Amino acid sequence: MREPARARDGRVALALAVAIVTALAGPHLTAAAVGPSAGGTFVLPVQQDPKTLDAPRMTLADEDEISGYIGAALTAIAPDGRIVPWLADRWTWAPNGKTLTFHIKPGVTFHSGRPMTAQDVKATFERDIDPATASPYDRDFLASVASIDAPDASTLVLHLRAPDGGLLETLASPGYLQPTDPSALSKWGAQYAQHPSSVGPFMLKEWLPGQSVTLARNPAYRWGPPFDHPGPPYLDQLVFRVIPQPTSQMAAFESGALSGLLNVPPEHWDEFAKNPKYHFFQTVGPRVYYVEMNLHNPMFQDLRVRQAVNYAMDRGAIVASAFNGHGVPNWAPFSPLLAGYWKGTENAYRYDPQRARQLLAEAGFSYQGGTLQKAGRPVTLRLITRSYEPFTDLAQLVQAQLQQVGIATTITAYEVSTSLARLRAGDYDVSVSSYAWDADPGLVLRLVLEPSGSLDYSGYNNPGFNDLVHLYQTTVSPTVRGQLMQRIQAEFVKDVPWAMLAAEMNGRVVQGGFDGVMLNHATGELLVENAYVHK
Amino acid sequence: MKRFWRTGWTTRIASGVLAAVALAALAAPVLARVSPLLMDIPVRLHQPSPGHVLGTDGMGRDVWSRMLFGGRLSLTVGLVAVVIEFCCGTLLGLAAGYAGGWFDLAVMRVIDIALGIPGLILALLMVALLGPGLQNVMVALGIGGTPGVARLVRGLTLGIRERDYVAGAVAVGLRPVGIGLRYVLPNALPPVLAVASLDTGSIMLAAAALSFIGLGAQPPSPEWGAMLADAQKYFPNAWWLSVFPGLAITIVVLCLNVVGDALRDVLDPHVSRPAR
Amino acid sequence: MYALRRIALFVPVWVGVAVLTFAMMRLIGGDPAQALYGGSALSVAVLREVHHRLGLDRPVLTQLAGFLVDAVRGNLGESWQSGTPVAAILAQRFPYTIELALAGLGLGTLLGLGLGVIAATRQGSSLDRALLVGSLVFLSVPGFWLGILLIYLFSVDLGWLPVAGAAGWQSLVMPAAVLAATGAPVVARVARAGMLEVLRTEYVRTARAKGLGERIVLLRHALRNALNPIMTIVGLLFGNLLGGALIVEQVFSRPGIGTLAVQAIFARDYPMIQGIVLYTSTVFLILNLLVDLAYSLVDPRIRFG
Repeated sequence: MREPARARDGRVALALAVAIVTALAGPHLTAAAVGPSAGGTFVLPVQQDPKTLDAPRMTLADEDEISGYIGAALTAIAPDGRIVPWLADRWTWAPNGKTLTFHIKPGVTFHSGRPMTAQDVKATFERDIDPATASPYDRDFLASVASIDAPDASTLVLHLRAPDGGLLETLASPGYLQPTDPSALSKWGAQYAQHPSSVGPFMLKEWLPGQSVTLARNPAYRWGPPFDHPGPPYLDQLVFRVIPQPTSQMAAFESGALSGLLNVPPEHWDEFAKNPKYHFFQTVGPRVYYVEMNLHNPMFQDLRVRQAVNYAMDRGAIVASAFNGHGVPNWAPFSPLLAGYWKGTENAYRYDPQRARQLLAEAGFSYQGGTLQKAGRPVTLRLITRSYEPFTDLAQLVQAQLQQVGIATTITAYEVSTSLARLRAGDYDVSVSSYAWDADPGLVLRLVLEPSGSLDYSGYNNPGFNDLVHLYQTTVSPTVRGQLMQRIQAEFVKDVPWAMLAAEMNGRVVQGGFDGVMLNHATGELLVENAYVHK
Repeated sequence: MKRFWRTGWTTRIASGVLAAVALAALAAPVLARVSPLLMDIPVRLHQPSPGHVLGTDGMGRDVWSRMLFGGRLSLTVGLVAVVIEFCCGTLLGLAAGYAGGWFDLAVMRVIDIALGIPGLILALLMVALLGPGLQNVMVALGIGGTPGVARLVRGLTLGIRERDYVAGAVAVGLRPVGIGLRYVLPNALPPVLAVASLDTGSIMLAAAALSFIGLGAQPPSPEWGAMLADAQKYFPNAWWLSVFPGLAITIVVLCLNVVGDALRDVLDPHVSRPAR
Repeated sequence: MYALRRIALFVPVWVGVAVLTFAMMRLIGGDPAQALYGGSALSVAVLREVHHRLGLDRPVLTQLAGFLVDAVRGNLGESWQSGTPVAAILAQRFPYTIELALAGLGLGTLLGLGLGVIAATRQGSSLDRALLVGSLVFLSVPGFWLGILLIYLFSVDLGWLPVAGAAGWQSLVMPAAVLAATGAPVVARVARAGMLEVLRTEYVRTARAKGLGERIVLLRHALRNALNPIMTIVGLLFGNLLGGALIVEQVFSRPGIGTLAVQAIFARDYPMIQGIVLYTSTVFLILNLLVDLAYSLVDPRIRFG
């Protein structure tokens, strides 16, 4: 359901995006007259039943969401976008950019009470990248790390293959990259997945598969990042209930059984945003939707055809219908939430069906009664997508808009695994696809648009583009990185391997009975760990 | 036929409603004012009004047009799946019951195996196997229903085979295939028809359930179950999106059940076990 | 003798179900390793490792043999998603489904009996017909729609019952009601027919002639004798309700095997799906066996198979 989704460690993004993110907070969002006090249970829904909470083995965004409260990370992303200390006090880069040394905060302990040392972090990272662990994400996250040293209990040294300008952001992942308690790992063995132990603000109390995961306050936690309440949390418990249907999630929230909703379906924003009983937050999310064109199909090897598809897309109508107005038309290959997003991409291809028809004609297509033909044969394309919202809506809108310029399509909606298998096998012509990414854009661009990248399903291979992305990844200077990311986006817009559609907006809502919950503007994430009961 | 009509006013009303729905579906191109696929984003989610008698959906499509064309699809799914299970099941059951011996044994064991897996799980597995889409839903539900029909027909065949006129036909020297077609099939048919009517209803419900899980009709086809599943995200705000397809399915299935019951009462007073 | 033969047949049928399940799993498209990771970024090397870890690189027949031998020993393997034994997961989840199916069955049987008896005593009247058609309405509503309507009415508007979950009897009420809606009409139909048949017998006429009250005649004499076919139908219904729980559990977010099955199928978690299908089918087959045996004991004329 979600490719590189890093739900909660959304803390991982830089923050040029602050301007885009708006918080429509309820009137009493500011701290109440009476100060916070300990107590209360905060209940959140998760759509999928978590299978494992062994950090490197997690695959579901919901697992990461839960795990992010059990763990902590060396660094964190502050609401202003700066990278700030969390488990590490401070860090230094070697002049050549190939060695990164962390100084671990004193006094950090695991949930078992055992003090956390640099050796523990080293052992964690080594397990994360060990092929035997078969971690789906961590090896990509730590790809630049060649070896790790821990000369003493509070010093951690990462030796890199090449400079990695995005590493500090990538490391800010309390879910996937949380330190693992070695005593718990040896005690539980294969069952560690059901008994995770780390250094986060909450610890696992009870897990009823298929029903709920209950976390309890970690009373020892006093090492929160500077923008957070330092700890321990006010809440006694943080409960995640498995509720697969969005309709049921909303009904449960309205009946008071849930304290918050992390993803209000856009069709229902107004009810929640306008209700004074609730705190409502909205932000541009990390997820983007786009039309992927199969470049193995000769038709799409022609730049003019790809441009025509881009001109055919009425992104305003798409946002109005599929997202009920709660999305942003998008032309860059990633969400405007991400650091390095370049406004220069905006309106690169404004809706212009006339222009699209003209480009198709130039590319050698003719029209027969409104239908596109090539060499006397009508063109009908296989449009694949996933079998849930908003994919099915988007596919229908894209189909109607392609039809406007004469391109006929038939839609098949598959569940995630089959749709990915089809994409991988190249068994499609166009696909309404999506990914969510809230960390450094360099890594995801390598994954989705380079031939070696495991998510490059369109077969796109542009050496100039690849070189730019590589250069960006190995550059540490923020200024140069900013310039490079602009050039990368310019190249993307020029060559348009995909037709970008829109970035999703996320609506989040919390019951008025809780205060202290804030939005991290840099990451779009809700800081639930600060919540307390409204007195 | 007269006895069928005399089973009561409910039967007459149900038959009338079914005929009306079938006619409306057939006449969809005439009755619909616009294409069921025509999007008009500015008028999305409009309530029922003289312009759009049943309102518009999230893409501004006319719900009335979609209901009419959707009726075609929903009825087709039910009918085709029933015809599949009916044909395959009758043939298998007739052959097994008439031939007897090892063939009968083998067929019955396969049927037992297929019936050993709960129906909806079997359908889910088969659609996952065949790929999503209405055609595959029809095939999956049709094949899924085959064992039940086969078992029923075999039982009936066994009974009929023992009757005097069949014995007479054998004595006269008619070939087994001839006997099967001439004597056994016509006698086994009526109870099967009653069951088929009831099954059409349960198949329509199963198809809707598969659409709910996301394995049914493919967008943008307006099959009723898919419309109902899509309407979920607007519930309870845009009530017209779920109420009309929901009621349509309920009414059609209800009428099929009423008619099926009446057929059964008339044709075969002995069958009291449900088909599924 | 019949009983022995019937029991002996159970074994090959069970093996057949197991092989069929295994075969269907392998035929379904989609890469399980890919599905397992929810469509995440997996490099080809990682995919190969995962294939090896899951044993997917072994010959299919070896996999089948291993599966059958293990299954007989009660070892259903480990879920690929969580790494925990499938048997343990099923043992934990199955009670929720059984609980739901039993509650649905109980409610459906009670309702059906009531409706059937009332309809039988008023045979041919408008009430009779209205009751039957009325009960058919519930058989005809798409279950997931009925569920959603109930949630909005009783949880959101009235606030009487919890929306989702499996905590306490309150959370069982609505899902059981939706299941009962499909069971009650079937029971009602059989109960009505059974009652009519019994009411026509000498036996009841004698009871009436003795001047016993109509209620006593109905409940003590007629109903008791009509119970046999009703018991049979209830046994068969249980299997149907197990399947019906699939959808109902989705709507009400219950942690039973229906929810588990849908997730496992989408995630291509082969051992999990095999385990679920085999487990459910085994329960279903045993139930059918018991029903058949009971039936043959009651009515010696019946000789199935």
